Amino acid sequence: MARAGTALRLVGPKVLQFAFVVWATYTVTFLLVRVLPGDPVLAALAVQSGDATTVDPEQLAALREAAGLDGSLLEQYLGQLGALLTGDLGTSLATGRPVVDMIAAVVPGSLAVAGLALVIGVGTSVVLAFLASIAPWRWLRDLLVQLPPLGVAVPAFVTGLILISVFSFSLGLLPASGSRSGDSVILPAITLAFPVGAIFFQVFITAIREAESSGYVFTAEAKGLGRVAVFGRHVLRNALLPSVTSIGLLIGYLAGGTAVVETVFSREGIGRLVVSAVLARDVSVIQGVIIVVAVVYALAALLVDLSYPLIDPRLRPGKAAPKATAPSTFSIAPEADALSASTQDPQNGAAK
Amino acid sequence: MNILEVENLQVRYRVGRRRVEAVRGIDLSVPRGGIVALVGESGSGKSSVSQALIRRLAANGEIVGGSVCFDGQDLLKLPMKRMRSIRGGAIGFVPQDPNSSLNPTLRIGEQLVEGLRLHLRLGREEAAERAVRILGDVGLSHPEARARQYPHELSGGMKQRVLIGMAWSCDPQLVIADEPTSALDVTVQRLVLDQMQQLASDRGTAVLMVTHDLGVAADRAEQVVVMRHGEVVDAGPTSAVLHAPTHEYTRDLVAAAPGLNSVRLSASAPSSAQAEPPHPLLEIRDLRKTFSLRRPGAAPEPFTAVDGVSLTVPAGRTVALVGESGSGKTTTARMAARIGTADSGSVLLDGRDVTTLTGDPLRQLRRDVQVVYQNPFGSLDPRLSVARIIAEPLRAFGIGGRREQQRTALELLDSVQLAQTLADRRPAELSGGQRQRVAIARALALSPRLLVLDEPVSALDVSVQQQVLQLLVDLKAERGVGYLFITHDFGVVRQIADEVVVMRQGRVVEQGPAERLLGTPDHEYTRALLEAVPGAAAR
Repeated sequence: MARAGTALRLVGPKVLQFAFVVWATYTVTFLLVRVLPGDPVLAALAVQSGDATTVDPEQLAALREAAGLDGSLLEQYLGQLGALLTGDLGTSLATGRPVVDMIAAVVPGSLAVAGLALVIGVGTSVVLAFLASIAPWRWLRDLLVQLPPLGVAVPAFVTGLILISVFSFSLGLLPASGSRSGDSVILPAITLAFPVGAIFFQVFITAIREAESSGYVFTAEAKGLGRVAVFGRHVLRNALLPSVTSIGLLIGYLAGGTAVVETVFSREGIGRLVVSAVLARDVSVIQGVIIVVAVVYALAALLVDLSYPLIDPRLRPGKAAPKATAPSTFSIAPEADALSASTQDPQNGAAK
Repeated sequence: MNILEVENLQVRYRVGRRRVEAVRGIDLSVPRGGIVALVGESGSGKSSVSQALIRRLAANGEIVGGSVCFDGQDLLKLPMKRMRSIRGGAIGFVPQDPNSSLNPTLRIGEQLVEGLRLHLRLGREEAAERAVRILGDVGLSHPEARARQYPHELSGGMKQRVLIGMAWSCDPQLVIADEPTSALDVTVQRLVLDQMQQLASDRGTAVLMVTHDLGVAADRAEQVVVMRHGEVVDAGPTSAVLHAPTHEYTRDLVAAAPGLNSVRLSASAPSSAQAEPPHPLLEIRDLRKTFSLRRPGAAPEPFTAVDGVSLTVPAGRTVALVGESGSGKTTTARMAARIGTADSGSVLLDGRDVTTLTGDPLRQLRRDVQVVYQNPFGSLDPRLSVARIIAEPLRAFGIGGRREQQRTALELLDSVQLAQTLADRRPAELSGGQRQRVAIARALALSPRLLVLDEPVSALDVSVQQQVLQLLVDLKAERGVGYLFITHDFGVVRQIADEVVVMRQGRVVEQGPAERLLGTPDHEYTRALLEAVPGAAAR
């Protein structure tokens, strides 16, 4: 019972936060779409059939109703929110298909590219950081650290085109476009992995440098441990803490940032769905995609939050420990005792 | 026969384009089973020496010459692989700050096991059992449970015991201890040093103890080596070096060490403030403060930091508020200066109740009450010039024009004995002692009647500490301000306090005139604190 209570206290607030983020995103998007000038239904029809179309008012009203764009603002808001809770994101103005179906059709493809990109990017970063930290020569360490910023500096369409011309046209190893075959995922994923890995690497290497200059790494080396053992047991886990936060942010970025890559490789995906929806002024689809991305983003943040206690024992729920001396949690170094250091002071820190 | 012979050791650091010679050819020897103290102030290069001995300097440091002969072989010539088998095996190392020297993500036991498996080639289970035994040996209760705990669940003193156990875990011939107790309270410091001495004599281990505290050296070491600016200035048997120092620097150091030589400081000039009868300037009555400690996944627990504290600071007097970390002395001081708010009780300044002031009246209170913080590196804005920093309170209260403020700033520089040429410098260009003087000058800018000084000299070297304390004593005589002086150091108390208040776990255990309390303390806790002050051997 006590254990379940503890778990609830840990997870409860974070789940509420998750729900709040999704709700707030929905509300803001709803308002933004309504603030945009012009009638979205009319605009969508105009985009479909040219500017000079005459529209039958009855047909227009039917379309409005189907899209959930009839009635007062409050009615629309509540109606859509209710539909949202049952998993209904409305109907596309441009295609007439349910938005949920349209998104569901492209999610697997995007998920495969984004997931693979994340794995490649983070994996390469960890390997590079490992090499950069155990390489015996200073010049090699410096070089390895300098490489990843290139990944951010070179835009995705350039890397994509280079990859296509090398691996598809010259070597003929991988398909250049489309999303039919399984191996078509590889090139787009690599293209995306560059910026993703580079951003992660910069956070990760900073965390590693910090861990390396810490007292506990000195202790580990004074114990006689070799470079690999020090990295694996002492540096890595402590460096993971700040880096996991950046993974959460990267997942959010990947959820919505695939448009360029999908365009370069002519793949179906969330990114291209958004682009075409914006061009067609298809507000239902735009709104749907934003909500889906918000859910992914908030979910990633939730998972990151929940993973902290797994990595850092200091964040785990307190358990009764044998205490021989007076309150051990309050004994602090003299320097933490100063007025100026109130943020380090556990007493004051806890009070905030 | 010496276990360690260091000859002409030189260490250099690259700082940007410059090269800084931190250790300029020192000689040093440690006899088998002997305890040698390496003493010096900050920047003397003593920590660089300790790190160079195990060839583990910071990334920008390198050993550029000399030899380190350990047990007959030159460590500087060994391949790294052999060196690693000596680190933690034949040479143990006790690091400086126990709070940052254990990996926060690994259990205590796991961290001990690493060395045992590496050097003694023990199996997993055998090593785990040995780790528990070691924890018991260094005086931790419930060693099995401790082995399964994480560092943050242990106090600083307990962590330092773990690190000591770690250093001795593989039966080393030499242990290097770099400021092993500087981060600990005096009573804990004493226990930890006792533990080290015990282990050294039981196992016949030689110890090289690096310390800034001459008191610690006097109590524990057979020989002392004094370093300054990367060179050895004095070396020999402890009693000879400390009682009949040959070098002038050692003499100054001994004279300034608060633990060894606490004489009450008197004002260098006769008091110019009119001798008014000391009326109560600050009175605090029955102050209480409770924090709620939040931990993830647990209901907040109330924690009473200050529990019914009353004290009085008379005008023109120094009241020292003494206690160990966690005693509530800083929280009390914050409430006395009205930086923190009390849950109950009252704060009176000149008989006026200021407990509940807010807004502008509270701001006006700052004219009368100013605070000097412990860390002179963090309490000054790095981008402002010294004159700007000192004049800031005047600007805040719109006192005088620009030119007048500048003149006041220069006068204040004079009164804290800093050259007026420093007025245009930034804090980064000043030493720690100079910065603390600037902080004091700033606090004096509004001519307050009460200064709350929170550990104002703990971050400073002893010789600088001495100068700053003398300055405070002089300023008090000159201006007749009252001091509420928070400190953990009884040496400092002896030097400056008129009255002493001893706190423990949020309560006052004893208070009274300094002479009486330091001479014949009533309370056993005060006695224990006084006895724990290092340097007893030399007094």
